[in-house]
Amino acid sequence: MSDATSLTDLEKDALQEIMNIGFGRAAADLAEILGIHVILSIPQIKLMETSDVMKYIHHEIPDTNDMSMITQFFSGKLNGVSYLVIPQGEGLKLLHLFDEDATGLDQEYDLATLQRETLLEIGNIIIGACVGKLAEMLNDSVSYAPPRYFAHEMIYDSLTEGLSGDKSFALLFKTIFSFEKEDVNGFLFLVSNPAVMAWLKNSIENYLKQYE
Amino acid sequence: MNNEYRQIFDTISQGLVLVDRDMVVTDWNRWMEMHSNISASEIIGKQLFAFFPALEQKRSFIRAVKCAFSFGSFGYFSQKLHGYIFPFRNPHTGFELFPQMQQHCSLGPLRDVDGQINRLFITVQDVTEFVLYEHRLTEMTRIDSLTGLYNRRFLAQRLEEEMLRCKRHGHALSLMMIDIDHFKQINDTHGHLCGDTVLRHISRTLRDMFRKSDVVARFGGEEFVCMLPETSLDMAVILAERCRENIANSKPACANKQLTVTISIGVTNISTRETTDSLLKRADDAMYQAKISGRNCCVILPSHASSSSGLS
Repeated sequence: MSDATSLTDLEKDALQEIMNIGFGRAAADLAEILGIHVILSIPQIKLMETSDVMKYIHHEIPDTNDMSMITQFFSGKLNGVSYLVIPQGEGLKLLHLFDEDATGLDQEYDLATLQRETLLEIGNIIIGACVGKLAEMLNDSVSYAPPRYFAHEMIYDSLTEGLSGDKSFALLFKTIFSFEKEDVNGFLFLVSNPAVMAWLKNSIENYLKQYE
Repeated sequence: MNNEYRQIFDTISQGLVLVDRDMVVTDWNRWMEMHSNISASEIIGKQLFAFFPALEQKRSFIRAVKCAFSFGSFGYFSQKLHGYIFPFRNPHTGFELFPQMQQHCSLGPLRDVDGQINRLFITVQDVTEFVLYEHRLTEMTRIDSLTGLYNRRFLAQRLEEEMLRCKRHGHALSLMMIDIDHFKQINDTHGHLCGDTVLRHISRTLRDMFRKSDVVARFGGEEFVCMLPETSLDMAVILAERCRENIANSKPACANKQLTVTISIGVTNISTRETTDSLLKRADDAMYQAKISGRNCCVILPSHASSSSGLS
């Protein structure tokens, strides 16, 4: 057995498989149930010091000037925060997903507002699908706080706020998603904390039992 | 439901609805009764869509319901994007502006003891007063108080957005720059109050001639700009000529006098690569040429050519 701050290679492989299946199901359900065709890349799992998460995201997304971000906290036995980062302006391409029924579209709101609201709604759906399926694979169910929107330099501010003050480590999942039809893509990060580790190891163990 | 929770459920100043997997209503609180005029006894046990058929056609509502059942996720319906989910009568002022109550709504899963999702909750929050406030404030930043037309700030913002859209989709966009002829003389001869009357008269006449999707703005003292999305230059020219004619034939009355007022118009259209500044500049150049050509006329400066043609 390993200590509570790391995963063994076997646990890592199992978690990777759980993520692959979970996200695969999320994408399949999004397409089948909602008609939203999203491609989710194979998720990467990393364990790192919380203070390094910022550096990592900074490295992945060097320039937030043209980015928007949806943040949503989730809590269950699996808990943490999800960050969905998408290039600014791309949200406009998704507006048509609402064309039929959104009344705000012909009202007085400017494009920036509509883009923000669209991203909040779509981000909420994607995060819900990915986190929900992952939790389901681990025999857990989670609930969510309302999604929040950040843009430009507010992105780092909010990340710093959410990730600092904690000397411990973080469990980070990264996936790249793209909308098949709309030529829109972005990052999805899920950041969890050490408190889930014992439970996670246990869940992975249960998952592995099916192969015994 | 335990008695204490029941009391909260029924006294809270928010709509609360519970539905099962078949969208049959299983609970409906007092607030919902009050605003829908549908009593709990009437709707409980019946399909929600039987009472609110439009909801069944609302893609994002159905999407959120499916998400809640299949992913256990929550759905949020912002007023900005949706206006409202339940078509209730606006219980506040501003009825003309918002006949329906403006709402923020959310929905989410309810898990039973086994963790299964068999029911959903829906919350409805009345945000009409807030929206009215916001609307009034927004109007104040967009509208020119004297003429009631849009102000220059709003025009700049809309023009920027519209040009982006044009570039993306290759739509047409035309622009008119309008200036009142000899306005200073009107002010000097008949006084500033008369000048204001003329400004208002012309604004009203112009506004009545354009579509809702066009932006008619007061650009400066006696200068106006009309932005016409998805309008070809040819159409814009016809419209400009009609504007000129209407204004010249209308005789605004001021201090018991019938005044004759004319306008000069510059018309242009967008080219593929340009800024709002260059577009406005070309419209302004065209208008200036109309002034030189003797006023009370339209001059067209198409985007692609430097030559101009006049129309009087």
